[in-house]
Amino acid sequence: MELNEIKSLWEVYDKKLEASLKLNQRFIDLIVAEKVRSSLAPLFWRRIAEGIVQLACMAFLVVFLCRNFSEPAYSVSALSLIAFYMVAFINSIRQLVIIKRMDYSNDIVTIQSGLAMLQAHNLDYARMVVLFIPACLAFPTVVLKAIKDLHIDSFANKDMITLTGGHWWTAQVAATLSLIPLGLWCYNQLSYKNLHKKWVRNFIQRSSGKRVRKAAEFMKELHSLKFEAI
Amino acid sequence: MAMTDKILFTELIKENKGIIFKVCNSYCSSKEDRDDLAQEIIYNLWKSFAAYKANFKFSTWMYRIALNVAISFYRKEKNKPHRTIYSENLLIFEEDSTPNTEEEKNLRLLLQFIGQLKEIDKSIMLLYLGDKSYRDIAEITGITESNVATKISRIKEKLKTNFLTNQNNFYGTK
Repeated sequence: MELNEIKSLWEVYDKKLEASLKLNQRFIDLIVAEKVRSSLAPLFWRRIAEGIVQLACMAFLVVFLCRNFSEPAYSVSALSLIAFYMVAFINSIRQLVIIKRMDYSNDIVTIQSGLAMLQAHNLDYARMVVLFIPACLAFPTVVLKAIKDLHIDSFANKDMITLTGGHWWTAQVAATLSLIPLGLWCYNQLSYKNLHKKWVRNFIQRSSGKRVRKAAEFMKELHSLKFEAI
Repeated sequence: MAMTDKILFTELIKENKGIIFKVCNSYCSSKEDRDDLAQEIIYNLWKSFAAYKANFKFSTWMYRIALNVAISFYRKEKNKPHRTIYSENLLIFEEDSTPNTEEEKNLRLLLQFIGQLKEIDKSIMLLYLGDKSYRDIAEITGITESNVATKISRIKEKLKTNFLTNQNNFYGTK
Protein backbone atom coordinates (compact mmCIF):
# COMPACT_ATOMS: atom_id res chain seq x y z
CA MET A 1 0.00 0.00 0.00
CA GLU A 2 1.40 3.38 -1.05
CA LEU A 3 1.29 6.58 0.98
CA ASN A 4 -1.36 8.25 -1.18
CA GLU A 5 -3.59 5.18 -0.68
CA ILE A 6 -3.11 5.41 3.11
CA LYS A 7 -4.02 9.10 2.96
CA SER A 8 -7.14 8.46 0.93
CA LEU A 9 -8.17 5.70 3.36
CA TRP A 10 -7.86 8.26 6.13
CA GLU A 11 -10.09 10.65 4.21
CA VAL A 12 -12.72 7.92 3.96
CA TYR A 13 -12.44 7.45 7.72
CA ASP A 14 -12.87 11.21 8.26
CA LYS A 15 -16.01 11.25 6.12
CA LYS A 16 -17.48 8.27 7.98
CA LEU A 17 -16.89 9.96 11.31
CA GLU A 18 -18.30 13.23 10.05
CA ALA A 19 -21.46 11.46 8.96
CA SER A 20 -22.21 9.27 11.93
CA LEU A 21 -20.17 10.20 15.03
CA LYS A 22 -22.17 11.85 17.79
CA LEU A 23 -21.13 13.32 21.12
CA ASN A 24 -23.39 13.05 24.13
CA GLN A 25 -24.35 16.67 24.76
CA ARG A 26 -25.42 16.01 28.36
CA PHE A 27 -21.91 14.96 29.30
CA ILE A 28 -20.37 18.12 27.83
CA ASP A 29 -22.88 20.09 29.87
CA LEU A 30 -21.64 18.33 33.03
CA ILE A 31 -18.03 19.19 32.17
CA VAL A 32 -18.67 22.86 31.54
CA ALA A 33 -20.71 22.94 34.75
CA GLU A 34 -17.43 21.81 36.37
CA LYS A 35 -18.86 18.72 38.01
CA VAL A 36 -15.95 16.50 36.95
CA ARG A 37 -12.58 16.22 38.69
CA SER A 38 -9.14 15.66 37.20
CA SER A 39 -7.68 12.15 37.27
CA LEU A 40 -4.52 13.73 38.73
CA ALA A 41 -6.45 14.70 41.89
CA PRO A 42 -5.83 11.36 43.73
CA LEU A 43 -2.10 11.64 42.97
CA PHE A 44 -2.08 15.17 44.39
CA TRP A 45 -3.67 13.98 47.65
CA ARG A 46 -1.27 11.03 47.87
CA ARG A 47 1.67 13.43 47.71
CA ILE A 48 0.03 15.62 50.38
CA ALA A 49 -0.31 12.53 52.61
CA GLU A 50 3.35 11.64 51.98
CA GLY A 51 4.39 15.18 52.89
CA ILE A 52 2.44 14.96 56.18
CA VAL A 53 4.15 11.65 57.07
CA GLN A 54 7.55 13.17 56.26
CA LEU A 55 6.78 16.23 58.41
CA ALA A 56 5.66 13.94 61.28
CA CYS A 57 8.96 11.99 61.02
CA MET A 58 10.91 15.26 61.07
CA ALA A 59 8.95 16.48 64.10
CA PHE A 60 9.71 13.23 65.94
CA LEU A 61 13.40 13.54 65.06
CA VAL A 62 13.55 17.18 66.19
CA VAL A 63 12.07 16.17 69.57
CA PHE A 64 14.55 13.28 69.74
CA LEU A 65 17.39 15.69 68.87
CA CYS A 66 16.38 18.15 71.61
CA ARG A 67 16.25 15.39 74.21
CA ASN A 68 19.61 13.90 73.23
CA PHE A 69 21.46 17.01 72.13
CA SER A 70 24.26 16.50 74.65
CA GLU A 71 25.10 13.05 73.27
CA PRO A 72 26.80 13.47 69.90
CA ALA A 73 26.18 9.89 68.74
CA TYR A 74 22.43 10.45 68.93
CA SER A 75 22.34 14.06 67.80
CA VAL A 76 24.52 13.36 64.72
CA SER A 77 22.31 10.36 63.83
CA ALA A 78 19.13 12.39 64.27
CA LEU A 79 20.53 15.24 62.18
CA SER A 80 21.40 12.93 59.29
CA LEU A 81 17.91 11.42 59.36
CA ILE A 82 16.37 14.90 59.47
CA ALA A 83 18.41 15.71 56.34
CA PHE A 84 17.05 12.53 54.70
CA TYR A 85 13.41 13.41 55.43
CA MET A 86 13.99 17.03 54.47
CA VAL A 87 15.21 15.96 51.00
CA ALA A 88 12.19 13.62 50.69
CA PHE A 89 9.86 16.45 51.76
CA ILE A 90 11.35 18.88 49.23
CA ASN A 91 10.90 16.19 46.57
CA SER A 92 7.21 15.80 47.51
CA ILE A 93 6.70 19.57 47.32
CA ARG A 94 8.42 19.62 43.91
CA GLN A 95 6.00 16.94 42.71
CA LEU A 96 3.00 18.86 44.03
CA VAL A 97 4.17 21.90 42.05
CA ILE A 98 4.48 19.75 38.90
CA ILE A 99 0.94 18.40 39.38
CA LYS A 100 -0.50 21.86 40.01
CA ARG A 101 1.27 23.37 37.02
CA MET A 102 0.46 20.48 34.69
CA ASP A 103 -0.74 22.13 31.51
CA TYR A 104 -1.63 19.67 28.79
CA SER A 105 -1.46 22.38 26.14
CA ASN A 106 2.35 22.26 26.34
CA ASP A 107 4.26 20.11 23.89
CA ILE A 108 4.05 16.33 24.26
CA VAL A 109 7.69 15.66 25.17
CA THR A 110 7.66 18.28 27.98
CA ILE A 111 4.38 17.10 29.50
CA GLN A 112 5.11 13.40 29.17
CA SER A 113 8.56 13.86 30.75
CA GLY A 114 6.87 15.55 33.74
CA LEU A 115 4.27 12.78 34.01
CA ALA A 116 6.87 10.03 33.67
CA MET A 117 8.82 11.76 36.45
CA LEU A 118 5.72 11.65 38.65
CA GLN A 119 5.30 7.95 37.87
CA ALA A 120 8.96 7.29 38.62
CA HIS A 121 8.61 8.91 42.06
CA ASN A 122 9.61 5.70 43.87
CA LEU A 123 12.85 5.72 41.93
CA ASP A 124 13.71 9.03 43.63
CA TYR A 125 13.26 7.30 46.99
CA ALA A 126 15.44 4.38 45.91
CA ARG A 127 18.16 6.85 44.80
CA MET A 128 17.90 8.74 48.10
CA VAL A 129 18.22 5.54 50.09
CA VAL A 130 21.44 4.61 48.29
CA LEU A 131 22.76 8.15 48.75
CA PHE A 132 22.25 7.71 52.49
CA ILE A 133 24.02 4.32 52.61
CA PRO A 134 27.05 5.96 54.33
CA ALA A 135 24.73 7.08 57.16
CA CYS A 136 23.18 3.62 57.48
CA LEU A 137 23.95 3.31 61.22
CA ALA A 138 21.91 6.43 62.01
CA PHE A 139 18.56 4.68 61.61
CA PRO A 140 19.09 1.78 64.09
CA THR A 141 20.86 4.20 66.47
CA VAL A 142 17.83 6.51 66.67
CA VAL A 143 15.18 3.76 66.63
CA LEU A 144 16.82 1.63 69.34
CA LYS A 145 17.40 4.67 71.56
CA ALA A 146 13.79 5.78 71.13
CA ILE A 147 12.56 2.29 72.09
CA LYS A 148 14.96 2.19 75.02
CA ASP A 149 13.54 5.51 76.25
CA LEU A 150 10.13 3.84 76.41
CA HIS A 151 11.59 1.74 79.26
CA ILE A 152 10.72 -1.62 77.73
CA ASP A 153 12.69 -4.19 79.75
CA SER A 154 13.72 -6.39 76.83
CA PHE A 155 15.29 -3.35 75.12
CA ALA A 156 17.05 -2.07 78.26
CA ASN A 157 20.58 -2.63 76.90
CA LYS A 158 19.82 -2.73 73.19
CA ASP A 159 21.05 0.63 72.01
CA MET A 160 23.71 0.96 69.32
CA ILE A 161 26.34 2.40 71.68
CA THR A 162 26.10 -0.67 73.93
CA LEU A 163 25.82 -3.04 70.96
CA THR A 164 29.02 -1.65 69.37
CA GLY A 165 30.83 -2.15 72.67
CA GLY A 166 31.37 1.58 73.14
CA HIS A 167 33.00 1.88 69.72
CA TRP A 168 30.05 3.58 68.04
CA TRP A 169 32.14 6.44 66.65
CA THR A 170 34.74 4.08 65.21
CA ALA A 171 32.01 1.96 63.61
CA GLN A 172 30.19 5.03 62.31
CA VAL A 173 33.27 6.74 60.84
CA ALA A 174 34.50 3.46 59.30
CA ALA A 175 31.08 2.70 57.80
CA THR A 176 30.65 6.24 56.49
CA LEU A 177 34.11 6.56 54.95
CA SER A 178 34.04 3.15 53.34
CA LEU A 179 30.49 3.51 52.01
CA ILE A 180 30.68 7.06 50.60
CA PRO A 181 32.11 5.95 47.23
CA LEU A 182 29.52 3.15 46.96
CA GLY A 183 26.62 5.48 47.82
CA LEU A 184 27.69 8.15 45.32
CA TRP A 185 28.39 5.61 42.58
CA CYS A 186 25.01 3.90 43.02
CA TYR A 187 23.24 7.26 43.13
CA ASN A 188 24.74 8.28 39.81
CA GLN A 189 24.14 4.91 38.20
CA LEU A 190 20.46 4.62 39.15
CA SER A 191 19.11 6.81 36.41
CA TYR A 192 16.93 6.27 33.35
CA LYS A 193 20.02 7.16 31.32
CA ASN A 194 21.63 3.88 32.43
CA LEU A 195 18.70 1.59 31.65
CA HIS A 196 20.80 -0.18 29.02
CA LYS A 197 22.69 -1.75 31.98
CA LYS A 198 21.00 -4.94 33.06
CA TRP A 199 21.67 -4.50 36.80
CA VAL A 200 20.20 -0.97 36.77
CA ARG A 201 17.04 -2.26 35.04
CA ASN A 202 16.77 -5.13 37.53
CA PHE A 203 17.42 -2.90 40.54
CA ILE A 204 14.79 -0.36 39.47
CA GLN A 205 12.23 -3.09 38.84
CA ARG A 206 12.93 -4.88 42.13
CA SER A 207 13.09 -1.76 44.30
CA SER A 208 10.30 0.26 42.70
CA GLY A 209 8.23 -2.09 40.52
CA LYS A 210 7.60 -2.70 36.85
CA ARG A 211 5.54 0.46 36.39
CA VAL A 212 8.43 2.65 37.55
CA ARG A 213 10.86 0.79 35.30
CA LYS A 214 8.53 1.40 32.35
CA ALA A 215 8.21 5.09 33.26
CA ALA A 216 12.02 5.32 33.38
CA GLU A 217 12.25 3.67 29.96
CA PHE A 218 9.75 6.18 28.61
CA MET A 219 11.79 9.07 30.07
CA LYS A 220 14.82 7.72 28.26
CA GLU A 221 12.89 7.50 24.99
CA LEU A 222 11.57 11.07 25.37
CA HIS A 223 15.04 12.35 26.20
CA SER A 224 16.47 10.80 23.04
CA LEU A 225 13.58 12.18 20.94
CA LYS A 226 14.17 15.69 22.17
CA PHE A 227 17.93 15.92 22.34
CA GLU A 228 19.39 13.39 19.93
CA ALA A 229 19.27 12.93 16.19
CA ILE A 230 17.28 9.75 15.53
CA MET B 1 -16.54 31.11 33.08
CA ALA B 2 -18.88 33.22 30.93
CA MET B 3 -21.90 31.66 29.24
CA THR B 4 -20.56 32.66 25.81
CA ASP B 5 -17.36 30.70 26.50
CA LYS B 6 -19.40 27.61 27.36
CA ILE B 7 -21.40 27.88 24.15
CA LEU B 8 -18.28 28.53 22.07
CA PHE B 9 -16.47 25.60 23.69
CA THR B 10 -19.39 23.22 23.05
CA GLU B 11 -19.53 24.30 19.42
CA LEU B 12 -15.79 23.86 18.88
CA ILE B 13 -15.89 20.43 20.49
CA LYS B 14 -18.75 19.37 18.24
CA GLU B 15 -16.92 20.64 15.16
CA ASN B 16 -13.76 18.74 16.09
CA LYS B 17 -15.27 15.62 17.63
CA GLY B 18 -13.56 13.49 14.98
CA ILE B 19 -10.15 14.37 16.45
CA ILE B 20 -11.25 13.16 19.89
CA PHE B 21 -12.61 9.93 18.46
CA LYS B 22 -9.52 9.20 16.33
CA VAL B 23 -7.19 9.80 19.27
CA CYS B 24 -9.31 7.63 21.61
CA ASN B 25 -9.65 4.89 19.03
CA SER B 26 -5.90 4.77 18.44
CA TYR B 27 -4.94 4.60 22.12
CA CYS B 28 -7.71 2.38 23.53
CA SER B 29 -8.97 -0.98 22.42
CA SER B 30 -12.16 -1.25 24.50
CA LYS B 31 -15.27 0.92 24.28
CA GLU B 32 -15.18 1.63 28.04
CA ASP B 33 -11.58 2.86 27.92
CA ARG B 34 -12.38 4.95 24.85
CA ASP B 35 -15.23 6.65 26.69
CA ASP B 36 -13.13 7.20 29.82
CA LEU B 37 -10.39 8.74 27.73
CA ALA B 38 -12.84 10.96 25.83
CA GLN B 39 -14.16 12.27 29.16
CA GLU B 40 -10.64 12.99 30.37
CA ILE B 41 -9.75 14.77 27.13
CA ILE B 42 -12.85 16.99 27.14
CA TYR B 43 -12.32 17.73 30.83
CA ASN B 44 -8.75 18.89 30.16
CA LEU B 45 -9.78 20.86 27.07
CA TRP B 46 -12.34 22.72 29.15
CA LYS B 47 -9.86 23.29 31.98
CA SER B 48 -7.36 24.87 29.57
CA PHE B 49 -9.92 26.65 27.41
CA ALA B 50 -9.58 29.98 29.24
CA ALA B 51 -5.90 30.05 28.27
CA TYR B 52 -6.59 29.21 24.63
CA LYS B 53 -5.44 31.95 22.28
CA ALA B 54 -7.41 32.40 19.08
CA ASN B 55 -4.25 33.13 17.05
CA PHE B 56 -3.43 29.45 17.50
CA LYS B 57 -5.45 27.03 15.32
CA PHE B 58 -8.03 25.29 17.52
CA SER B 59 -7.39 21.84 16.05
CA THR B 60 -3.63 22.17 16.74
CA TRP B 61 -4.28 23.19 20.35
CA MET B 62 -6.83 20.39 20.66
CA TYR B 63 -4.42 17.79 19.27
CA ARG B 64 -1.79 18.82 21.83
CA ILE B 65 -4.12 18.34 24.76
CA ALA B 66 -5.86 15.23 23.41
CA LEU B 67 -2.59 13.46 22.61
CA ASN B 68 -0.99 14.41 25.93
CA VAL B 69 -4.00 13.11 27.84
CA ALA B 70 -4.16 9.97 25.69
CA ILE B 71 -0.49 9.07 26.16
CA SER B 72 -0.67 9.52 29.93
CA PHE B 73 -3.99 7.63 30.06
CA TYR B 74 -2.50 4.78 28.01
CA ARG B 75 0.50 4.57 30.32
CA LYS B 76 -1.55 4.22 33.48
CA GLU B 77 -1.75 0.85 35.19
CA LYS B 78 -4.05 -1.69 33.63
CA ASN B 79 -7.05 -2.97 35.61
CA LYS B 80 -7.68 0.52 36.97
CA PRO B 81 -11.30 1.19 37.83
CA HIS B 82 -13.22 3.12 35.18
CA ARG B 83 -13.97 6.68 36.12
CA THR B 84 -17.02 6.99 33.92
CA ILE B 85 -19.32 9.37 35.71
CA TYR B 86 -22.10 8.99 33.26
CA SER B 87 -23.81 5.70 32.46
CA GLU B 88 -24.55 6.62 28.84
CA ASN B 89 -21.84 6.58 26.16
CA LEU B 90 -20.08 9.83 25.50
CA LEU B 91 -19.00 8.88 21.98
CA ILE B 92 -21.70 7.32 19.85
CA PHE B 93 -20.42 5.70 16.69
CA GLU B 94 -21.69 2.51 15.14
CA GLU B 95 -18.86 0.67 13.46
CA ASP B 96 -19.50 -1.95 10.77
CA SER B 97 -19.24 -5.31 12.49
CA THR B 98 -17.89 -6.98 9.33
CA PRO B 99 -16.11 -4.92 6.72
CA ASN B 100 -17.55 -5.63 3.26
CA THR B 101 -15.53 -3.75 0.70
CA GLU B 102 -11.77 -3.91 0.12
CA GLU B 103 -11.59 -0.28 1.24
CA GLU B 104 -13.31 -1.03 4.55
CA LYS B 105 -10.99 -3.98 5.16
CA ASN B 106 -7.93 -1.85 4.44
CA LEU B 107 -9.21 0.92 6.69
CA ARG B 108 -9.66 -1.57 9.52
CA LEU B 109 -6.13 -2.85 8.94
CA LEU B 110 -4.74 0.68 8.90
CA LEU B 111 -6.43 1.46 12.23
CA GLN B 112 -5.11 -1.81 13.65
CA PHE B 113 -1.54 -1.05 12.51
CA ILE B 114 -1.69 2.50 13.89
CA GLY B 115 -2.95 1.05 17.18
CA GLN B 116 0.14 -1.16 17.34
CA LEU B 117 2.62 1.74 17.02
CA LYS B 118 4.53 3.11 20.03
CA GLU B 119 2.85 6.00 21.91
CA ILE B 120 4.81 8.87 20.37
CA ASP B 121 4.87 7.29 16.90
CA LYS B 122 1.10 6.97 17.09
CA SER B 123 0.81 10.70 17.85
CA ILE B 124 3.08 11.62 14.97
CA MET B 125 1.12 9.44 12.53
CA LEU B 126 -2.25 10.81 13.68
CA LEU B 127 -0.97 14.34 13.17
CA TYR B 128 0.53 13.50 9.80
CA LEU B 129 -2.68 11.88 8.56
CA GLY B 130 -4.62 14.81 10.04
CA ASP B 131 -2.79 16.98 7.47
CA LYS B 132 -0.53 18.77 9.92
CA SER B 133 2.72 20.18 8.50
CA TYR B 134 6.11 18.98 9.79
CA ARG B 135 6.46 22.30 11.57
CA ASP B 136 3.09 21.87 13.32
CA ILE B 137 3.97 18.29 14.27
CA ALA B 138 7.31 19.48 15.67
CA GLU B 139 5.54 22.18 17.71
CA ILE B 140 2.89 19.81 19.04
CA THR B 141 5.30 17.02 19.92
CA GLY B 142 8.27 19.12 21.06
CA ILE B 143 10.79 17.35 18.83
CA THR B 144 12.80 18.84 16.01
CA GLU B 145 11.46 19.02 12.45
CA SER B 146 14.25 16.81 11.18
CA ASN B 147 13.45 14.17 13.81
CA VAL B 148 9.79 14.40 12.80
CA ALA B 149 10.71 13.78 9.16
CA THR B 150 12.87 10.79 10.07
CA LYS B 151 10.15 9.34 12.30
CA ILE B 152 7.44 9.76 9.66
CA SER B 153 9.49 8.10 6.98
CA ARG B 154 10.19 5.12 9.30
CA ILE B 155 6.54 4.80 10.32
CA LYS B 156 5.41 4.93 6.67
CA GLU B 157 7.83 2.13 5.83
CA LYS B 158 6.55 0.13 8.76
CA LEU B 159 2.93 0.57 7.69
CA LYS B 160 3.77 -0.42 4.12
CA THR B 161 5.58 -3.53 5.34
CA ASN B 162 2.65 -4.42 7.61
CA PHE B 163 0.20 -4.18 4.71
CA LEU B 164 2.49 -6.21 2.49
CA THR B 165 3.00 -8.91 5.13
CA ASN B 166 -0.73 -9.08 5.69
CA GLN B 167 -1.36 -9.40 1.94
CA ASN B 168 1.27 -12.16 1.60
CA ASN B 169 -0.19 -14.04 4.57
CA PHE B 170 -3.67 -13.74 3.07
CA TYR B 171 -2.67 -15.07 -0.36
CA GLY B 172 -0.30 -17.59 1.21
CA THR B 173 -3.08 -19.20 3.17
CA LYS B 174 -5.51 -19.19 0.25
